[in-house]
Amino acid sequence: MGSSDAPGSEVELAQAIATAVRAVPGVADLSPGRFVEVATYGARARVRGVMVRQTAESLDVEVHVCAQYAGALVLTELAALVRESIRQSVRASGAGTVSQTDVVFDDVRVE
Amino acid sequence: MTMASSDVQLQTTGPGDGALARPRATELVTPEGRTSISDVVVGKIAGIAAREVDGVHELVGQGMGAAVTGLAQRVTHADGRSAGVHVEVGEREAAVDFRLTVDYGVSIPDLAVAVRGNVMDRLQSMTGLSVKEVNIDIVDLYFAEEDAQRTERRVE
Repeated sequence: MGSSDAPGSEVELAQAIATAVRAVPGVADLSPGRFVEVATYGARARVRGVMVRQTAESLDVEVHVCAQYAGALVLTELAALVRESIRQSVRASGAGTVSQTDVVFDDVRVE
Repeated sequence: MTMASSDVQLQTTGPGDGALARPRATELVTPEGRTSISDVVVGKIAGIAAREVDGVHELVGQGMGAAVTGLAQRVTHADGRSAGVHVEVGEREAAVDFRLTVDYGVSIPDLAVAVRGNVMDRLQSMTGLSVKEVNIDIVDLYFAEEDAQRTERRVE
């Protein structure tokens, strides 16, 4: 794929990831983290809850998630779903493959 | 893996990713990445699980009681679900302490067994943590009739 690794692409990638993660059933929202703000920063955009670290040979992603409480909630399974959706969205955006995805559950939400 | 003691600090492996250098969250390391569950999540799940048991009236925070707790919650935007719950989380085990009020008339020992069971179940299935101990402190009784009478008198 001919997409360049321009500095701006990290934010776009993070935005795509954020959209994908929010769509996962069981995810209430992304969380900006509990201490230092977790975000990907760009020119006119800031994507809270998603951190993308791109180097020449690897692409690491860290997402902070607020889970939706339900009787059948299993956080490890939810993490696997989140990981899979990130993998797909990164592949769809043509940014290569993700080497590591860290999923952090910061909070749970009950309706 | 060795047995986790009750208060395991996670050694932060790997070259300086600051974001994960936080103390005490349960972590599951897989080849595709880490999954961390923060203590807040464990505490909230425990709190919800306790409340699910019929006969538990409310969980109450430590200290000066509801007024101060309420104020603190308003200031910090916390929801009250983890008030009255204290958790200690290790790598694969957790210990939970509750302060709660129960409805008048229930058998407290039976209720305690039920709370313990439900909390252990929920935490085990949702987070994978095995719960070593659940300490329950019953701090007050709740009388439903008293409340009803009070409202009646005011209506008159």
